[in-house]
Amino acid sequence: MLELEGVNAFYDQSHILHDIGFSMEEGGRVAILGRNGAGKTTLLKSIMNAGPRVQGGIRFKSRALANASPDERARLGLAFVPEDRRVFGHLTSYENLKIAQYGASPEREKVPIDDLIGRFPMLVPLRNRPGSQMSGGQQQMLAVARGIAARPHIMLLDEPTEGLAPVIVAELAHEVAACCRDYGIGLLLAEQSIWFSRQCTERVLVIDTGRIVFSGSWQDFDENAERVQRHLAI
Amino acid sequence: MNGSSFMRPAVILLFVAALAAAPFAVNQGLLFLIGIAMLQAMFALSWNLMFRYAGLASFGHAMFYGIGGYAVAAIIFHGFPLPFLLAILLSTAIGAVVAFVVALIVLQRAAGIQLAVLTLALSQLVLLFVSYTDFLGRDDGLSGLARPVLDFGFFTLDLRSPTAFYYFIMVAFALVTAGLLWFVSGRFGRVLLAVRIDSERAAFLGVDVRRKRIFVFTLAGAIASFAGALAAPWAQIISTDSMSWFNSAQPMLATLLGGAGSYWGPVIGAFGLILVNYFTRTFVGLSEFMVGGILLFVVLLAPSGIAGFFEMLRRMRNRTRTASAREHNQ
Repeated sequence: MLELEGVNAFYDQSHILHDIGFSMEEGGRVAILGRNGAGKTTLLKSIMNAGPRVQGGIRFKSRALANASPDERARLGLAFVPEDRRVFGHLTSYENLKIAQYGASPEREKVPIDDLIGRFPMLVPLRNRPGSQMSGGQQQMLAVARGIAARPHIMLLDEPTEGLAPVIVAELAHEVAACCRDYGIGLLLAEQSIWFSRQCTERVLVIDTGRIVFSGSWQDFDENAERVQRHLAI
Repeated sequence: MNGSSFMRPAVILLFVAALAAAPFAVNQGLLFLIGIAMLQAMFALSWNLMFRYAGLASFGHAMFYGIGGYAVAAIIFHGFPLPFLLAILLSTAIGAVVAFVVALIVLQRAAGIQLAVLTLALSQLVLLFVSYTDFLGRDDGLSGLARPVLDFGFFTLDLRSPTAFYYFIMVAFALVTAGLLWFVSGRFGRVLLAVRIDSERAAFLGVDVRRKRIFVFTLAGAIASFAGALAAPWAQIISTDSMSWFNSAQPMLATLLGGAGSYWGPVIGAFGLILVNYFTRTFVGLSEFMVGGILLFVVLLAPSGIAGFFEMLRRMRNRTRTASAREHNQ
């Protein structure tokens, strides 16, 4: 479904990602762990063509994405949820979710908005509230729900737990895992929270200074805990 | 139905009734100005369509107004055998095509102030071209434009009568205003607002931002051309003034005065500007000064314009009512 081969990413002269290669099957759920500045966000942005200059091969559904713009990639079935939320403040929750469906790939049946809102208990009473009048946690829920609304093939989720209270993180983990499973959505999650990542995914990549230093299941991760932790500790 | 949801249709109905009654209540001079106000309102609505819904600020929008005006004026002046309605449609289409080409070129890279300056420069180039073209009357423009008689077979509409042409403009104004309102209130309007607020995020959701902007720019150009195509036979003259930077500023001033944040702001502003100009016309030399002073007053005291000011009053009244209801319950 998604294949990266020899991907290098640059911001101007700075070489951020080095020879990244991995693949994801349809419905696969993969966590990318790493310290601040390791290159997790750059990797997601490279897949979406959302900033860095990228060299190397990125293929999605057997199609090379080299010249595809971010909106084309979104219409192909990649949904990017950046870490800074940025919900449309002047639109209600319902309208925010509806907009996500306008540009969606026509081949996939969309998630009914009311069903989706029902899955996020925090959003139920906020259906008609403008995004600007929500708390950070509520906005994060809405941003994630917006990623799901188009029923993408793969959702790229960037640090969704950043700045959230533990109780909201737990609720978010439950909803993300359940939605991905029930709607058949693949997940590529960039996170620092090992607990959250473990709840939502089945495979893990560890990235350090722009290179993949570990790839395996969570069981492999636990078996190599000492080696892996060296790349995660501050 | 609460107070505010009742108020808006009532005000609109009152406005329509006042426009319809104008030919019976005012002299020909003022009737002409009200016709111009409706055309300027359409022009300003088209500008605000770009500004409010796509975040595009064009400083050369009069180019399209002028193109529509010159196209229909040339057809009438040179006696091309084209029915008047078709001439209006053709002029609108020419404006739309030019706007599309300009959008393709300009929106490729320019945004913000670059877009504003580039559109201004383009409009001045077109003005220069017109002022050197004999066919378009050079600097003098085309004057003495005859208003037509529309023959529909089963009835004729004599637009030579100012009153008939006034109602013709009024119907066009109503159709454009209602059509645009329908357009921006639906799905497309929401997507456009999303593009304006956060184009990057909209792209991540699959919205083709560039295509949407080109479409809006083209539509705005078409509506401005349509307004210009009606203005030329209404004034019975078209000149390079219609494409000047001063005319490009009119929809911006109207939007500023009426309120860019409201759909109706440009309409309120266009009528407001015409009224101010009318009532200050005898203060020779002071008229522009007074218009400038009023604009300064509005910008400083009500930055959201007249529409925003009324919206603020409505919110204050609602807050007061809620507070007194709470006190009453306690």
